[in-house]
Amino acid sequence: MFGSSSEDVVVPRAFKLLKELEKGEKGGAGLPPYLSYGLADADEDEDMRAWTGTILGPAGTTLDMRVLELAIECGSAYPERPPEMRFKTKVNLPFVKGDGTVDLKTLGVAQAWKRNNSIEDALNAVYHAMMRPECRRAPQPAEGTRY
Amino acid sequence: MSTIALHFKRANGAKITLEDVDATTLTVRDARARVAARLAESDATIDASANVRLIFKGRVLRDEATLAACGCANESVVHVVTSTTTTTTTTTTTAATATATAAATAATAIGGRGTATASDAPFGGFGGGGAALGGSGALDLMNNPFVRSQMEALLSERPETLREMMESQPGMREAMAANPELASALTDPETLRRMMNTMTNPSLMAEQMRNNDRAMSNIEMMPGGFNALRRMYTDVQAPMERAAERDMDAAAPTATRTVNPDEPLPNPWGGAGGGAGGGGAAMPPAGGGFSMGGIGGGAGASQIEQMAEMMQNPQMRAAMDSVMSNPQMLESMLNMHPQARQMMEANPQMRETLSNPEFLRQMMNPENLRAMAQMQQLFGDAMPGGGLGGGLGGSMFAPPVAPAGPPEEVYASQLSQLNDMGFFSQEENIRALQATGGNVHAAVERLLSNPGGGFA
Repeated sequence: MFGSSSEDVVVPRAFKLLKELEKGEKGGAGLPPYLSYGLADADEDEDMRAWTGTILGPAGTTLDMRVLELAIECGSAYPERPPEMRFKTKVNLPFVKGDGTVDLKTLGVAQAWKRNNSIEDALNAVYHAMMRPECRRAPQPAEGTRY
Repeated sequence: MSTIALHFKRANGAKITLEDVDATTLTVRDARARVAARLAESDATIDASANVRLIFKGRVLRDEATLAACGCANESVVHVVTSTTTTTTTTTTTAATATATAAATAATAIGGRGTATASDAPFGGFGGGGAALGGSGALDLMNNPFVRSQMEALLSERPETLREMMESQPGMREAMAANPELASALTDPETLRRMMNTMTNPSLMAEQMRNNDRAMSNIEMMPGGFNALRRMYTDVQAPMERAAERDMDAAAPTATRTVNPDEPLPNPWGGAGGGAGGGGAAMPPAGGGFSMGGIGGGAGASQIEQMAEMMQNPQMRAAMDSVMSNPQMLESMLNMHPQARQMMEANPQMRETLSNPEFLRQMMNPENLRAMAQMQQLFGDAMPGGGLGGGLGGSMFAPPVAPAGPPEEVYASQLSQLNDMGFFSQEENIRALQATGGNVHAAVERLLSNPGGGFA
């Protein structure tokens, strides 16, 4: 609060994820209306590894208004390394591999990731990537198709 | 049957709230209908039959589940996606297949992990510090993040400004002039920073308020029919009288006594955990000493407030005045107490100050007492374990805030706790512990109070 360079503080994984969980579950202040995320199994997953997220397809793209579901895995290296994301809803996007896995390199997240980034940041990056010129007009599978 | 309030947020930011939701019985299907109806009221592009999907915690909610099973709790925010074809986009992919998506979701019930929000901790009720910082109402300001950041800047860049603020308050100025040590403590940016930190730290404040409440309820439950004020009154006055009698030629106090004769008379210098002993060192000694002595163990700064109240009683003032105007009496009182005497011997300047009736009278001024009480509260807060118990006086004067010794040793146990929690930066941990007076919980909050980034 005072005179402390809090940027240097290394927030432990569990604390960081708890904070993210709280934000995701409150869903309120600060979380963009097109993103949502939460623990996949809040009762069992004490390590808070498996998360689910949704992205609302951006307006002006072929994914407009679609609700896209993703599985998010925060391994033990998180938040040193970005979370792994995999689409459950079928999409056709250059940064998404054939099995729905998000290619973090193509996305740019792998390079830009800092440890104070969050699941929200990762999802946000996916959301914004959908609006790239090479993505916005990409033909999409019928809505509701899943991997 | 308890009901909750749920907020529903649309992608365009619009928000509606459903009050009185019984989440244990309301299904997602019914909730969708209610939300659609509500949206239709204000948005002509939506009718009640519109396909409204609810998204919570990263899932599309299944129709047959109840909201409670989906983990919705009071004040949860649920995202709403409406699939109508009213948007001006060129694609028309938003068809009625949406329900298939929803049904296919393998959503399982989520227990809902508790989400403690420390940010809700009460700030209110803290009246201290206003005077010490040169103006009442300053505290409310301190809770304003903007003001706080300005204060922070002020502290780090222009400590002398704060000193000016302090000195603009007559009571403070006199106290500081009479006691250079106090002055230096109060103008030390680090001390001030800690004071402010405490005042504005929710968890420390919350703890403080709890202690306060406890102390007050203890007082109220005190057996023997003493109300708190009377107790204060007699605790202070009776010992003074006794001392006066010993010293034969003291003026007889005239104030009415309400003491139970069987009640043991407290030692004016005892009780407060060496309040007087430690006290004289930095504070205007008489005030610190007397108020502490009068309070007795287990009492708190809130009682100092009462004492100030009491000092406004004319009879009490008269009694005190007569005591104060007799320097010999006072000195003999001080000499009665070994600790006090020791201190006096070690510090001739203080002896002089203490023997000055005018100064003592000044210190008994209710205004000054109150200001001191507030300061003590602040100092007490900043101390490890300072709390409200008898240690107030002593803790206040351990110069200035931090316990002696290298922080690695002083906070050894706290540091290892932080380490166990995964905070590995020794330097940051120490800084946080120092700032929070060794309170691990507060230190964690402090460590966590850094903003997240974003690269989008």
